Amino acid sequence: MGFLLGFFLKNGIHSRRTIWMTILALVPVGCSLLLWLVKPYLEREGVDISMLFPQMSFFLFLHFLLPIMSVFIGTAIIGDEVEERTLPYLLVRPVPRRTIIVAKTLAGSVTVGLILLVSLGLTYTIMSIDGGFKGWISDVPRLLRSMGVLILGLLVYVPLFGFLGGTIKRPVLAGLLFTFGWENTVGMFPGNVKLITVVHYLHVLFPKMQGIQLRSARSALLELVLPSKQISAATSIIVLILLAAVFIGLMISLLYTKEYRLEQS
Amino acid sequence: MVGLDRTCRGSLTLHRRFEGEGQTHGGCAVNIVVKNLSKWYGQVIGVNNLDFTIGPGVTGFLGPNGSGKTTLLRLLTGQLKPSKGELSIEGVHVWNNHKILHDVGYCPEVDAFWNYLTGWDFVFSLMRIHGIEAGEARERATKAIKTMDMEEAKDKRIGGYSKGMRQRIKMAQAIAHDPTVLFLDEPLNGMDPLGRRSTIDMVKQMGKEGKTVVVSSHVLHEVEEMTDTILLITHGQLLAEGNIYEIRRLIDTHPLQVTIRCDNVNVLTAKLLEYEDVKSVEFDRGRSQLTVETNRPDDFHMRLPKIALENDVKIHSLWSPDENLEAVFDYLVR
Repeated sequence: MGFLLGFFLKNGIHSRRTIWMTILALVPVGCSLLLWLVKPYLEREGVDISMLFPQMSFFLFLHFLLPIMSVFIGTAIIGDEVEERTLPYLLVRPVPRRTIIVAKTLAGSVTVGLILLVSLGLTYTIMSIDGGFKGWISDVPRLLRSMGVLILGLLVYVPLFGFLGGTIKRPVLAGLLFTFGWENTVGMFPGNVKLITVVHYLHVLFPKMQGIQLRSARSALLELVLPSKQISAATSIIVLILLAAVFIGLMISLLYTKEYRLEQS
Repeated sequence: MVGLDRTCRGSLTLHRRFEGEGQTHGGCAVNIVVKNLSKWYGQVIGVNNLDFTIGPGVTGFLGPNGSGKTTLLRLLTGQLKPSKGELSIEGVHVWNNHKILHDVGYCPEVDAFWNYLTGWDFVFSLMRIHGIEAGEARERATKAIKTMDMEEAKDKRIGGYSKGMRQRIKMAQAIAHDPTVLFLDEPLNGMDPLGRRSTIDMVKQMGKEGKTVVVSSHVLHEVEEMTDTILLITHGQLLAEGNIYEIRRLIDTHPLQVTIRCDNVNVLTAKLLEYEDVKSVEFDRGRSQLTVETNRPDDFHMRLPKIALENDVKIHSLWSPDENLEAVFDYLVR
């Protein structure tokens, strides 16, 4: 298992996908640099850029980078080996298929996780650099909590999209539709329907943004008519871990039941 | 001892099975058992109702491209689940049974690699994935690479390898863990003459050592060099199995071609055409030779000296281009 994990991590480092994801992860770093450069103008308007970090982490990391990277890495867990036609080298070895799946899922999650966390850390550092070390350390708990939520999100999304990658023909498209359609739309609905999204449980855990009203007046009114069931952080963590286990289980069962017909050379 | 299982296609006898001399599993332990094995993908049949056993030694799977050889090898290596029937290696079912793969080596047909790896990394990594400890994996990888004559290129990236080198490194990963059962899918494909020779010698040696080696190929003379025990497969069906010369003998209706070089092509042609079993005669006056196609080879051979003597025809040489595997294969799949 240890060698397989290392092997897949090495594979991941050498894939073009990882390079593209790293470039994508530089977007928030670039944005924060830009904000830091225009800081004097923003301050004149009464905007403190260190206060913008929660919004950036919420929108750019939780709602954009996490799902999009999970889609690309998750759908590639089995898909890569099938497309590259290297799966027979792994399947005709005395290794349980579940080990292969778990190792690939972990390797993918670690790769994306590192990229996301480094990017988040850099973004945070740039936005709090003016406060010196004291300023930097003051909001570290928020940073760590955001990182934790992103890791939990990865553990659910990566196997979910891994399962999609092994079952349907256009998994990337389906994954993008799921994240930016279902998750972002239903996740914002009033009432309890949002309980059937993954992102809702991540919202519960994610550090709250101060001074930002996410909901429109209409949705706030709807919330009054259709009140949401309040979920505790502990419940959210349990639900997310259960979901991760279910999706990993589904992926494993897929490799035991599904055959992969590789194109002949 | 001959046992026949005949299914006729027109006048051709398609599937014949026999046991006896030349059979790798004649009297030896049977390693691979395939019973009523079928595999289909929706409406498409991959292999159909196959029934055979394979013992130690080298066995060739022969058939044209798309005949089902690769599907059969994928079934045998547990990559595919049989739709019907069963198959086992050493008495153990293969599908979803990774433990049986400890002693199995497989060289896939597909030309696919993790191209960033060096040849050595590739073989070493697969040995580690196979569950072999690092030190031993290092030794085995080095030995296999040496066996495949890839020492000079072992530290280069596979992405920069020639087709022949890629074939050889693929072979190295298949043999490195010293498997007792080895499946090679078109192993000589793209190999240079030197690589071919050493691979053929290696396969033959493994067979002599009592290992079970299954080689698939559509290039018949290649397999002919490795073994004379074959399974002919076409359209997913087993056409014939056994020793090629035994098969050849059983094909009593197979029109044998005989080429004769003589000093009087016209007379001999005219005389031979008087016999019913002679289907056709093609002659080449410039080279003083004729090629006869006959349905009754034994009768023909007995009759020919008499015809030559009576008509004062001097025969310089006589040979049958049919006697090789390719001719039998062509005939069977035609």
